[in-house]
Amino acid sequence: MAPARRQRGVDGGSVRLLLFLLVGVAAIVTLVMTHDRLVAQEEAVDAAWADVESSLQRRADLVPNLARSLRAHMRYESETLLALARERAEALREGLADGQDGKAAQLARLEAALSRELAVVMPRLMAMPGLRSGDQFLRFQAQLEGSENRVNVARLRYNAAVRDYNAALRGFLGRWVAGSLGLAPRDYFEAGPGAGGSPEVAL
Amino acid sequence: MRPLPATGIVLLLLGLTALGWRVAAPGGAGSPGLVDDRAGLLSAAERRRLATYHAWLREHHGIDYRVVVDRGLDDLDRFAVEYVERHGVGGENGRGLLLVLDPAANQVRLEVGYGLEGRFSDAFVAYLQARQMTEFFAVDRVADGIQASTELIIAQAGGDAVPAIAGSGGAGARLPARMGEGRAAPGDERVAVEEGAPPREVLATYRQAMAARNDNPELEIYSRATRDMLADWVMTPAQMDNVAKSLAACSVVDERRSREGRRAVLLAAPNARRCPPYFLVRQDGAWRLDLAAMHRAVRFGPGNRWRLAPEALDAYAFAFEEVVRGP
Repeated sequence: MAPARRQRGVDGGSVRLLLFLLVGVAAIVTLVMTHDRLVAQEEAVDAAWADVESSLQRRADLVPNLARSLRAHMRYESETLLALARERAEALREGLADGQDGKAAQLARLEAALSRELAVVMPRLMAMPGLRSGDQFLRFQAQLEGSENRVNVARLRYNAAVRDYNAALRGFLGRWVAGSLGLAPRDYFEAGPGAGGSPEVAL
Repeated sequence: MRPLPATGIVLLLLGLTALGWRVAAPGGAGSPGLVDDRAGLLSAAERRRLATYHAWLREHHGIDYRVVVDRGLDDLDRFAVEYVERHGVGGENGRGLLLVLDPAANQVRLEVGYGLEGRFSDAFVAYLQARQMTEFFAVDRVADGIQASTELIIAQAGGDAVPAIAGSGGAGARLPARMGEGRAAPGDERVAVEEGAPPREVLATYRQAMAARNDNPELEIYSRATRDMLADWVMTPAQMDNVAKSLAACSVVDERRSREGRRAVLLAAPNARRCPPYFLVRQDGAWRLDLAAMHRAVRFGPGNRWRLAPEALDAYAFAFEEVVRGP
């Protein structure tokens, strides 16, 4: 009986050791996977942000071209409104150029301000019969709306990427791994309440 | 329980692979196909015609052009982007176009994949929709509008493959669809043509009229049959632009007249397959364009290349004796 008991004791120890090793390996693998997932999600956020920036740049660059091309058709009133839109576009371009923190919210506000100005000026331009019927206005309208839609698509994708990333950071393991990697939650691309309201235009 | 024989496992795997491929392939069991008309706006024959045309476009130009018609889509821009993503429109290279029409909202959007953004700018898409497609939608000819716009797409497509990623990022344009709005009244502007002007001069006047987008069907340079035909014709600005562009690029190198001198045909160089012959008839003492006879006898194929329908040449057969007689 004694050798048999000894045999069982050896087996039990091995099993415990094996379980311990398995748990250890599983913990390490889980941590590595959490780390890799967080890094991949952070990269996805960065890639989505690059799309947002390029879409904003495209939009900001369009407005001066629009102003130049439409100058011949404009009355004083529309020209003043378009000058305001041009200033907003310039502010957006400058916002894109500086690399400060909290950029997403700041750029979202600048983009919303530009959209507000354009929402005022475009109907005025469209009301000019000579301009409305021509292909030139159709072209600019399409380019502006296209740039706005690209920003919206990039915004949706960026915010979705940020939502996934921030949720992963808040998880039990994510919080622990993120702390050791120095990963911080990202801001959503949102202009904030009131940013989309109608503007006050004084002429 | 007996284990499955090896051949059985192989067959099972092959079957699953085939099923997966069928579901993933455009037009497969899991895909809504090239024309997805959920609103029942198109007849079965129109759906087939468009699907055939778009399958040809995919095979010869590598462009995956799909159509979705549905009501109450709310945000067309967002719907289009999500549809492209969900159904893999345009494949890995993003060479996809998605036309979304919501007749209830009277809105139409053409979404352009990443791989086609270089060729199909937002401005071009807006032009295609405003100056071609919706002109047909206005007179309730939806399928014709889609097909007519596809012709412009082919002309713009080119053969170069732009390296790109799958999907789309909101490129394209959304415009009012002008459904059932009715045909805009044609203009009444006339053209000046000198008395006794030869056929070439009449053709030059026609080119000027098209360049000015003069859609007056009663122009002096048209024959009586042409005026009758154009009275019910949807003459879109894009079509007129195309005619003007084609005439500017095509030189007349030969003029053939019938024996009795009442008919003339202006011909471009034989190898210029995008430059069709122009038919003219002498009526009321002046040369006039016989576009009605041309419409019957000259057909346009892929790439806007023309060919003759010899059986429809009638009184103009004199100019194409080598074609009528055969080799």
